[in-house]
Amino acid sequence: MEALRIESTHKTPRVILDPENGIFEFSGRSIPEDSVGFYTPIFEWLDKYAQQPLPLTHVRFDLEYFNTSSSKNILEILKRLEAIHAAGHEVRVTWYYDEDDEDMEETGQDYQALLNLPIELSVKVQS
Amino acid sequence: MDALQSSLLHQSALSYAYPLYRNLLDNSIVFLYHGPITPDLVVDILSLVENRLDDTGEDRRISKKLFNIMVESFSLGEDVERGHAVLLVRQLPYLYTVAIGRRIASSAVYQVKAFLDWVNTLSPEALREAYQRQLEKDDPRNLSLVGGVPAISILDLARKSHGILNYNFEYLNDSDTFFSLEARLQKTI
Repeated sequence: MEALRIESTHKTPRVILDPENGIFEFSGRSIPEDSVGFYTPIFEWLDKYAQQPLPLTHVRFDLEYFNTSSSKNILEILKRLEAIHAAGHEVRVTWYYDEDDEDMEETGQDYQALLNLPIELSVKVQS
Repeated sequence: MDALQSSLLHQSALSYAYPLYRNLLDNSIVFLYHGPITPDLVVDILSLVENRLDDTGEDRRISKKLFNIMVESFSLGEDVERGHAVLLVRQLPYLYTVAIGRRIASSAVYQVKAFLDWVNTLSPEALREAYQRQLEKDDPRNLSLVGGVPAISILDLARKSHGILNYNFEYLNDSDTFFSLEARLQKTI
């Protein structure tokens, strides 16, 4: 299975889905013009990955900001990861937030509450 | 060309410049936008506001909050079918206010008002639960709308502003009503 790499733009996040190493990353902003058009290929890729996932998948969300339409799409991504986890393939999600951004921290807590998936909240280390 | 357009043609824009400036100043409006809201524009405006807040030395926690409230306010203003929106930010001694204004269907006013009144009764915990329920329920291809306005955006704004959402409806005609919604952010949170 081929990796999916989408470079970031000023309104869409960088996405790296690497099936060889089981490392997934979403970083940047998400206020796409067409959120369904942007996220659908990601859902399709994850559905294929779910058929033969690695025993351990690391997922990193390091988002700057996103709108509510994107937050729903992120929930859909997490639900797919939850299904992989429920099928016995470990998935570890880390949700990064800026220490000054309590809204981003709360969003991570919302996902923790809605899903049966290990989501670790972690303060970003300033570079 | 109708009478209004004709009269506008013969008036100089200069006659409006000072009253507009005075109005902005007297009402502590530090940012005002009128026009269509698109993702490209949102990014540009947010970047501009972010730089401005950095320049004024505003606390980073408050800047982030204000920023997030603006992102969501823009979501409420996106409706290409009903034309342009207005977004304004006021900077008062102890708080910021962000107001978004747009047209909605006059027939939707009751529904939007009832939803806002309900949201304004919710405790922070009940608001969090309502937001999570809505997030779970919404279809990503088709967010639930209350009178043409995304319900989840209203819930999100209420959460982010930690308080009551103020609103106003100005009847324009049987088809359209101008709806404005204000979120407040205390500087001392």
